[in-house]
This record gives sequence, C-alpha cells and structure tokens, in this order.
Amino acid sequence: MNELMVILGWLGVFAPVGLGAIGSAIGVTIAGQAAIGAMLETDSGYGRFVGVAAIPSSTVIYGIVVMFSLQRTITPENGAGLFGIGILTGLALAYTSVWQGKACASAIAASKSKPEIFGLSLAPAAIVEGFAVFTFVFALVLAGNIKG
Amino acid sequence: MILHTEPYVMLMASLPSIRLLGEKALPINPARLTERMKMLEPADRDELFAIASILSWNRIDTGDDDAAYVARAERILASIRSDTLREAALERLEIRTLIAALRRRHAGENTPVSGTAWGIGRHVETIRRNWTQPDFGMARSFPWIAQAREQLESGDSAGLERLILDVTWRAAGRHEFGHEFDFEAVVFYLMRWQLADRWARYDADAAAVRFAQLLDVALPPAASIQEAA
Repeated sequence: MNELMVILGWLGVFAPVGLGAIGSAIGVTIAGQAAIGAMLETDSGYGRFVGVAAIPSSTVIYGIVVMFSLQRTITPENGAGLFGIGILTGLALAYTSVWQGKACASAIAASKSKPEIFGLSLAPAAIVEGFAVFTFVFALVLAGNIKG
Repeated sequence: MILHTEPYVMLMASLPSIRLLGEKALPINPARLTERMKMLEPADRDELFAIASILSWNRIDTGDDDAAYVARAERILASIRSDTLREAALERLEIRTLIAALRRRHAGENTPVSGTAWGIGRHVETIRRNWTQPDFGMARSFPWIAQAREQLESGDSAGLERLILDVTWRAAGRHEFGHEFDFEAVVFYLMRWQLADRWARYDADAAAVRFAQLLDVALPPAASIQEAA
C-alpha cells in the first residue's frame, strides 16, 4: 500500500508537465493548421497568425512550474495529496489547451478576412487562458500545504 | 483522437468568407476552390460527390425522370454518414419539392397521383393531399411559402429566386452550427459557395436584361434615327 502511494505521488508530480505538454501539442497543432491555411489566402500578417498559433503552449509552462512546486521527498503520507493536485491540474491544463487551440484557430480563420477584428477575436482564447491560470495559481497555493 | 474530429482546420482556414448578397464577384474562383478540395480525404471526397450529384444542378443527371431521380436521391441520402449532412440535404430537397409543387400547380397541373414519385421528403404526401390549399397546409413548417406563392403568381422571378436562396442559406446556417473545421463544415461551405454563385450569375443576367431595357427606353428606334438623318 505504501509503495502504491509513493507511485501515485510520482505520477502526481509529473502529471502537470506530461498532460500539459500533450494538451499544448494538440492545441498548437490545431491553431497552427489554421495559421497555415490562412497563409494560403492572405498576402501579409503571417507572423501574427503564427504568434496566435503558439498561444496554447503556455499551459505546459504552467505545468512545469506546478511540477517544481510539487517536487519534494515523496512519502506514503503525501502521495495522495500530490496525486490529486497533480493529476487534476494536468487534466485541466490539457483540456484548456486543446480548446484554446480551437478558439485560436477560429480567431485566425475569422481575422484573415476581417483584420480589424483580430484583437477582439482573441478574447475567447484569452478567457480560456484565464481558466488555465486559475488552475495554475490554486495548484501552487495548495502545493504549499502538502507536507514533505 | 481530438485532431481526428477536426480534420480540416487548414482547409477551412484557407477559404475566404462568403456572403450571399451584395458581392459582385465570388471571393474564390472555381479553379482555386477545386484545388483546395484536393485536401479532402478520398472517402470524404466520394461522399461529397455523392451529395453533389443530388443537390448541385450542374451535377444532376438531367436524363433521369422524376422516379429515377427520387430513387437515387433516397439511396444517397441513406448512405450519408453524417446525421447533420443527411438532415441538411433532406431539408434542401424538401424545399425544392415545395417550390416544384408551387410551380406545377401554377402551370395548371393536377394533383399528383398517389404513389407516384414526384417529390422527396417528409411532406410529399401532405402537399399532395392539400394540393388545392394556397400553402399546401405547410405554412407552419415553411412560413415563407405564402410569400413564394405571391411572387410566383405576380411573375416576380427575381424576388422568388432571392427568397429561395435566402431560405436555403438560412437552413444551411441552422445545420452548420457547431461545425467549424470538420467535413460537415466543408460541405456547408460548398453549399454556400454554390448559392452565392447562383445569385451572382442571376444578378448578372438580370442586370444585363435591365440594361437592355434602359437602352431601349433611352435610345430612339433605329428607324426614327434614319428618318431624322
């Protein structure tokens, strides 16, 4: 039982990075495909499209920071806490990243024909980013309460 | 798996937005559109051609009689994998059935014989039973039918064409909701492109006729010019 708790603890420590990286990879791929498509139709603003496509990569950075905050000597006593915070943080980061990628793809597709809405079209992606930030901040707060 | 549900992000992002009315020229020409459609997976391309063969006027086999066309359309409708596309295609064919009924009745044709394949969809029998009613008893499902009948009877063919395109455009918009980068989105884009293309052509033809009429009014006949000379 003790060994299982330690294994779960390790899973929890690395989950924010692993799941965050999976989400970021998918999100950036979706938005990146939209950026490439938009480049076929426009004659300028390529850098802007690529910049928007990179937005979902922020979640893996949050995941790295959360991982460092969870990193400590893993014991049977703190394994469950690390697992709970780490897994749920990782899932939330992955999920927000994928949907942020879709929001970015929509923003790119819309603003290529109507450049004046470029800033406004990013609002949904920014709101989704807010949810990832909530997860990040409160994971850090709770990580400080785990003994070890 | 997530990427699998959004397979055409790049394709859809590479297509310009289309409006139905007010554009003199389409934002993407047929050659370029065909080129872009090469990004479709073979299975999706086959399904697209199948759908086009019953919906697109320039792909419908004009050698078919009504019964053959109805049988083919029903077979293809049943084979469409996406529920959204099947429902959208069916609704479009139902709109055509209703317009065809209006035109047939306006031309003086009698009630279609029961059991004959003259239309497609869920309302064929209702229309047949209510043939003598002005709106075929379909005003609740198709609130625009009274306007269509008035335009047909008054000879306002441009107004009727615009109404049909507008109704079809809005129907596509209803079904399209929630589909942004998938195969359904591609099919709806092509449907919209065809509607805009049809209106642009109709608009150009109508403008040419109107221009000729204005010329007739503004310029004196050739005979009176010769007399004046």
